[in-house]
Amino acid sequence: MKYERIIDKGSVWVLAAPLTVWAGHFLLSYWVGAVWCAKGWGPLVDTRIVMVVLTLSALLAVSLLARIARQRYRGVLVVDEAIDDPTENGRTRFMGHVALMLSVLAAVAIVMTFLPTLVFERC
Amino acid sequence: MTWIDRLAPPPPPDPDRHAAETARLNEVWEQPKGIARLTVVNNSSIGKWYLIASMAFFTFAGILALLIRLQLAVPDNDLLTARFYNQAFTLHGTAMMFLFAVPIFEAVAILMMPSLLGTREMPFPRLSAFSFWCFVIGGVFVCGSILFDAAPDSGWFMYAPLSSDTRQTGIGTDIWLLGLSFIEVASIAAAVELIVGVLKCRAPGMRLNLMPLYGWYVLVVGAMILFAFPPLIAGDLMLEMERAFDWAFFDVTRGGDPLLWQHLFWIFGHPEVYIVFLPSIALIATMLPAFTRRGVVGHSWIVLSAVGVAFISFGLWVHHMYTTGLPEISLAFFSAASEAVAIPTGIQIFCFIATIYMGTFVRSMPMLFAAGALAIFVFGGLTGVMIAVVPFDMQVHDSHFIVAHLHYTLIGGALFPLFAGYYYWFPFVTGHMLSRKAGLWVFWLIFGGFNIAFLPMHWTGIMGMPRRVWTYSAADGWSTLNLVSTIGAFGIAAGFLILVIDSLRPKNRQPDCVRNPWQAPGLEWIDKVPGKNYGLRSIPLVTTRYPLWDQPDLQRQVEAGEWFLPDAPEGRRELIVTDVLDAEPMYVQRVPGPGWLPFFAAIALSLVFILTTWHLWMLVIVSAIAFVVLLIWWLWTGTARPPETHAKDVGRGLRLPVYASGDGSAGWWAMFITMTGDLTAFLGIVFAFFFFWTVHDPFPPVGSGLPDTGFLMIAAVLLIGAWVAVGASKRLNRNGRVNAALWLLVAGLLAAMGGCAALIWALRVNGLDPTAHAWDATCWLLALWVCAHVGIGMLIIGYCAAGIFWRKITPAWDADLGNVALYWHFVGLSVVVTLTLLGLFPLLRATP
Amino acid sequence: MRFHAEVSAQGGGPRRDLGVVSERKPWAAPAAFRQNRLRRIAAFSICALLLGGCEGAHSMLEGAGTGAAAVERLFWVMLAAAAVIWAGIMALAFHAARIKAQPEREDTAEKFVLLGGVVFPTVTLIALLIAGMLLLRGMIGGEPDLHVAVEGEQWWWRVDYRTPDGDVSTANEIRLPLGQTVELSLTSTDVIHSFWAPALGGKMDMIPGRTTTLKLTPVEAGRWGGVCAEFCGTAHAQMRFEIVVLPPEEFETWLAAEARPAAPAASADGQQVFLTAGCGACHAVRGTGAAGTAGPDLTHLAARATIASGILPLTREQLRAWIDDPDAVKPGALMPAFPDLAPAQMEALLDYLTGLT
Repeated sequence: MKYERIIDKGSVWVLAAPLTVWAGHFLLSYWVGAVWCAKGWGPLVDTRIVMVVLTLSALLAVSLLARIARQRYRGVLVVDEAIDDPTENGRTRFMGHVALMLSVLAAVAIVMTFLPTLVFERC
Repeated sequence: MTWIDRLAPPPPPDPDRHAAETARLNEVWEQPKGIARLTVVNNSSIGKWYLIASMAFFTFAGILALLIRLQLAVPDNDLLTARFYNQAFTLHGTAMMFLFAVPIFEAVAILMMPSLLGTREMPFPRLSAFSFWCFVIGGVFVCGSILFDAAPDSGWFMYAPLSSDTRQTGIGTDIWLLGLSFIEVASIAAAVELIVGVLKCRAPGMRLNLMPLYGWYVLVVGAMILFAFPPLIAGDLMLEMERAFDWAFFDVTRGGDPLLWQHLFWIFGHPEVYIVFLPSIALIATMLPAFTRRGVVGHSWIVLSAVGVAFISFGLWVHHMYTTGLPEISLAFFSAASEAVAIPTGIQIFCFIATIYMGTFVRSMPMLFAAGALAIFVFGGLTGVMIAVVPFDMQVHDSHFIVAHLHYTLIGGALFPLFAGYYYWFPFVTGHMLSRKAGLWVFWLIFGGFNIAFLPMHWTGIMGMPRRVWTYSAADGWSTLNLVSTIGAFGIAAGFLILVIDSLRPKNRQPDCVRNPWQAPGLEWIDKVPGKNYGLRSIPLVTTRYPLWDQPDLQRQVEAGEWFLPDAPEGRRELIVTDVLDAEPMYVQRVPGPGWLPFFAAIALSLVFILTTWHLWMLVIVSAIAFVVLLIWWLWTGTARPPETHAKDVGRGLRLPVYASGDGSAGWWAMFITMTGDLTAFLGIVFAFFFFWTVHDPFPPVGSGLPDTGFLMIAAVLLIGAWVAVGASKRLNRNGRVNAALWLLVAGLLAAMGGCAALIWALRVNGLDPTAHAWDATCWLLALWVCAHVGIGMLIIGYCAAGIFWRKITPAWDADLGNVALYWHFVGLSVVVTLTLLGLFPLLRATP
Repeated sequence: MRFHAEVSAQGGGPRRDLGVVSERKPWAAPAAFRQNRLRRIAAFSICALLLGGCEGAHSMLEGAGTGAAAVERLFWVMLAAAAVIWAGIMALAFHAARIKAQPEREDTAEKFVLLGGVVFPTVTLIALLIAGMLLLRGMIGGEPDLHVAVEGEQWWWRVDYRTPDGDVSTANEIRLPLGQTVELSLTSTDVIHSFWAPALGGKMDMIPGRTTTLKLTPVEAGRWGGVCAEFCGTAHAQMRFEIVVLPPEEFETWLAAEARPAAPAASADGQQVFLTAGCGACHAVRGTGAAGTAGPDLTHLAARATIASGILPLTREQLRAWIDDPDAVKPGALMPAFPDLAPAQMEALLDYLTGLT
């Protein structure tokens, strides 16, 4: 019994992906903030440039994920849209809806994680 | 045309057949009586016991809280000694967190989830029983220590070096570390089962978009447990190694660092708060439709909220470490995440209010408690946002303000919803309603008492009272506030006492509860209460989110046995395992009935941990061997037995296989999920490695021994060889070359053994001494971790070889081999990481 | 909304001057306190009702340091905002429960979730995050005027003033000059402690193997309380200290006195007992043979207001009780008991110790 639907056709991964990008961005930012100067790498590249690059790439990744989610959802964003039709299509749209909103949340969280870089100077 | 369209119409009604089927189901699912009740594995019994046990630990921890409050009621009090007080608050926090908050989630989920998801049982009933027994034994071990004045006494977060130094803290710390590691293992086991349950054991047709919100929350919380508990287990391991064998992890004089413990603890500790809170919100989300007479507004928003909180909660841990002197920018990142987590948390609350707005609100006991939860939790959430701001936290951190805040979030966010759920599902479990009149007393005493106890406590903190102090002076100006708090605490206790009395009082004269008393839409209410041992009479096809409202004839159809598995002709307990996305039936899983193995295996494993506390190594080894023997016996006799037939009719013309292997089977998923958690613990050790790298320059320090490259290479070849051999053996077996597969397994076994020896030798030959420096200790820990896993890997290779030899594993029935190959993929990964860290990483160090 | 029930009459001077303190027995309900109890309770209830700051040497609403004052402003703003938000959510929830079902009002519900659940929190939280970070950046502060090293030990505080002429060592009482910024270097030799003087500013952990720093700028003279905030073992609750904020010139006088070796003993007996009983193995008295470092430096013990790490007033009787059995006063204390000192020896020792001004 071969079972490949989770990765290729299914839409579970797209649920986990946006905030995984946030987590990666968060950990890298923390790591850069904590380690970059401690290890004396400050002169190599300004940490703020590193952070800007990190943040932009994270936002780009999230927007790509949002695009995929949008394609699956194919709807207008209303709060009380039940999306409860008992079909594969209904399930795909539902997961797309959740993933789309998760992408928005991830983007907000990424921007919030970026803010400290503007306030604190390092090295 | 989907599988649903191909279903045959139900058979015509036939009372005789119906009665015969019911009799067979009753017989198959019958619970043992007398002493044999200890062998019960059925989710409805285990769930109930789990619930009662965690409530008992709650009561115990509550009594400790009352003692604490009595001691603090007046200044200069001498009711408790300093030493007892320190044990009391440590055990209060420990028991509430590890023996109540997390286990009660698992208890409720084990008890309710199969019914909510429209199935008969958890996928691995014996694992639930095993987890329950581990929990009870471990919990009694940890709590009982206070009777011998030997309880842990360094606070529930056990900061090193107070906890790592055996001259500072006694046996209590070992009891804490070993007892709780044991309970954590049990919690992870339960989490694995719950995740598999949600993903693979839903009613046919219950697609992800139709799954009840409760299922989503269980999935999310199970995954959180899987990623949050293992780092603590890694930390526990390091701390116990330092205590028992003097390995250098937290001792600064030998290159260790106390902050490493704080990181590992809080990487667990902060998600833990949400692990406690989300399941309770899930209960509210599940009850709300019944009391608003409509579906929850923003179903997908709530899923978003649960997933969002789960992720972001892993980025908050440093907000418990704002005052450790980390760079401001690091603190600010965690401040940002701590603020961000409030967004998804808020969304679910607004969705609930919107649901009440759009629906018809029905007043009831559960909703009264839910209202209390809202009032308290929102308040706790707002103070949480306040302490996420670094400068404010630097003032109130470790003060009674924090004590008040955490009780607002946990009691408001977790306990009140649990009480609401208790009132809601009490009839489901017992068939009787709780008294409304008593309930009002319960609510107002607990709600009032809580606010009297904890609202002033914020102010106590503002007035400068630190937490964890057993005494204070009248001149400090904290007396009145503390007295008020103590009075409130007894209000809570009184309310809880009434609840207990109301629950235990005989209700024989009370009329039986009507079916579905709340007119709820959830599948758990489809039956009369209390339900039968077998649960649903037949397993329905679910096509709506609120089946009892939207599939009006469903109840009759289920009871008439018109749906799946209406019978147990082979005398086996059976479940339908479905696919993750659309709950399409995949196969029939035979689940085991009552048995002594889980009980004795739990006793053997608990002895391993308990005896280790006193370093009784010979007995530890005996218990460990007993455990392994019991486990093999359990697996050999109970899992993946070749079935008597390939497929069976489950009703409505649906034929399903009765055996599955590989990634379609529930066992494969359980292995995958378990090993993900296991890998997370390994990553905890890798985190320690890199943590030491950031605090030491250079790391490894100049002059320290490095693992021998030659032996590392031998280890690499042999261990990776074993990994490849297992994979190849699986393929050969499937192609029918049984003998070749068997020999390859034997070769893999030998290679694994040699690889372990080479790895250990690579460290020994160059004199790495784990008691000398954190570098040596970390290298040894990585090597030991790998060797332990390879050792288990060897054991299960042997198991599979025996399986092939005695024809338990055949080319057609090869589930065991598939799971073992999966296990070895994870081992292979940790081998590669470990060898890279030990062999290649030191090369990066600039030569001095 | 401050309510200072016990402000000293000395025109804004130290609110508890040393004379008053030495008469009080903070651990045993002193006479002065008992007389004031009714007044205090009355005052207290009033402030509790008004939710205002109440007087207390430990209160973080005293504003005795710039850090505490800044956090206090933040606290009031956040508290007010939190109260409004809490009341708003409760009102919405009760309104939603009371009214009839509104099944057709989908757009209202939608706006409610979008604005209330998404937009409002996001905007508020980002604003709060930025405000908090700016405040934190402000608290990093500039160059300090004074360096003091504080080491947490079980269960007392070693205090070393870093002066150009070398370190001046004392314990459990930190005197600071009014209006000057002090940088505290904090560390520990045994377990983790945390330095917290709420009236002056935030707290900072003291971690073995690390040195953390905390800057304080006192702006109000007086005697302020300090505690260990991180659980550090049996006697954690009784690991206190005091911060005495003095006008700069008084501070300089005190520091100069503190730097000198101990005053010559009035009679040789007490010093003899001190040295023969073994006190010098743990305690230093500069100018004598006693040079132990395990316990507090006692060179100017009598200049301090308290003993046993801030929990007992320094009186002859308390000192006697402490030496006789430290564990009875402070369970867990590491100082050994001296029950075998003959009465005469004890009296001589007490004479000696109370003479170490």
